[in-house]
Amino acid sequence: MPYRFRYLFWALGYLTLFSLAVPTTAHAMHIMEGFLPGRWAGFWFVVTVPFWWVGFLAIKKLVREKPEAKMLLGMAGAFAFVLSALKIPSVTGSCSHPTGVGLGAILFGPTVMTVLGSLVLLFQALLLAHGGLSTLGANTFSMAVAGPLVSYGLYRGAKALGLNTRVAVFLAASLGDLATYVVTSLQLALAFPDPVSGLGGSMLKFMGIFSLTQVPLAISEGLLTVVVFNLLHLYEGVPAAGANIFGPRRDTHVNR
Amino acid sequence: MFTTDSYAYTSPLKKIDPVEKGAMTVFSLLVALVGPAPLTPLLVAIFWGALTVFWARVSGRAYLKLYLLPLGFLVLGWFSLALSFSPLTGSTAGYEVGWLPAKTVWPSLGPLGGTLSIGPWQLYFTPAGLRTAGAMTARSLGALSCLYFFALTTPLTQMVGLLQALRVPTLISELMLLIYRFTFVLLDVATAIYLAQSARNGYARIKNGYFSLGQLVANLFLKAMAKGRGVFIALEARGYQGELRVLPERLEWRPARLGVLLAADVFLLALGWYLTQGV
Repeated sequence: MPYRFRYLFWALGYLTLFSLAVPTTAHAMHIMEGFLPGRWAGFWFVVTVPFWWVGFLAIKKLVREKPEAKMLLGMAGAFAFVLSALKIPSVTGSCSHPTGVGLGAILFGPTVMTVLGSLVLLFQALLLAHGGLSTLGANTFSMAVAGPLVSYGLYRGAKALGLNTRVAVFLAASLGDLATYVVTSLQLALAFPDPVSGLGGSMLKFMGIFSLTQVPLAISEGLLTVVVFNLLHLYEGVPAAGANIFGPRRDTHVNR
Repeated sequence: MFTTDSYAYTSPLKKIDPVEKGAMTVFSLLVALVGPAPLTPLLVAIFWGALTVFWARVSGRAYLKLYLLPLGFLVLGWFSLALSFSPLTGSTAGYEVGWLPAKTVWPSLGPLGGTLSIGPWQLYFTPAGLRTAGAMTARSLGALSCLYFFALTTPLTQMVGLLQALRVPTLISELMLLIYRFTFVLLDVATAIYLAQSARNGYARIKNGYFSLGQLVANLFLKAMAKGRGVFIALEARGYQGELRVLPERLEWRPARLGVLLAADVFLLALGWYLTQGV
């Protein structure tokens, strides 16, 4: 085959790959069912257990202090799940689904988010075939532990530095998404080191290939979260970060 | 609303105890993950796929369509595993161990066997990479067939029984039930808002779209919290003591059936091993 056709071949292959993988919608980077070999799937379950435990204790305390928190947590979880079914018009022109990682971490706090996030991931696996049972541990670690911790930390840090709330929210939401993507890439690279270039090369490959969907997603989600926060601030007493939204509050809006 | 959910509620296997189905699923998932790839996972995929279509009576077309959902991730993942890269200046002849320069191994594959240079890097398939990618694809198919079997035959409300058997705290299983119920309520709200917004050209442009979606999310959040409080008030008015009790369904539990299916899994595992060793 002449040399220049080789480029044509690769270009066509790349376009096919691109159109297959990034058709109209880009999902958050859930590792699909069965992608990880058995021992790595198990490893991430073990790593996630302490975070589940901490989150469980936080939720238990919340429910003991305020019995109505249980319903609110249920609603919060359903809200996070429904959020992932919506489509954001993405900056690249295609669509992507919000992950709600940053929004959830700022509204509910990172420990609560771990439990809610893992339940949402379980639902996504069973109802939407998105993610999986064997990869639940790995996905929980990247999307419901690492992402929310980064988002919450950044939001708190940016506020402490006296930055504008919008900037803080944008940083928290977009970098939280990026953290999820980097951690997922690391998880994939650890399980599949490259035969030539090893762990580092593998990490670069995964980050490179998935950046097609994940970087636009992070930017879109950052923008969306800023809009949401601006609107929420119009309402009195809504989210000042953390668990205070689970407390009793007078209903200023219609309850139908 | 969700394909798997509607199949689960109308499934002929709905009456089977979720613990039994859970045990089948988890065991065959383990077999698919641990067994020698690519043979065992593919056998698992065929076996559980056949059970899902012929025993659980899921339409074959709908079943195959479900496999399209994770296709994007599978394709991207396949390329990430199969391709390797190294600096253009570095010779590809130096790696005898484990892999050989793609050119010499795959000469008949045309461009697939060569290398592609992008800037200072060269990109190529390696035999080791292709093997890993193949094993991963088989494993994913096997594991997906187990996930789909469970998802297509077990209504999520029955999951609570399974979680109790796994000694998951009641608080978590209650929360799961609540999230499941509320999901449909909030989906209705979100759909109504979305419809109203698009009828008013809310998503006509990207910038409008962001603002509309932001409004949708913010209002959905406020609605969710208001509804949560409403549910609590309604429950309290009916004597809520901090625990939600539901009547357990009467479900069948047949150890013999479970035993046969687990034995079939063990057989697939042994067959995979035997054939892999034999080749």
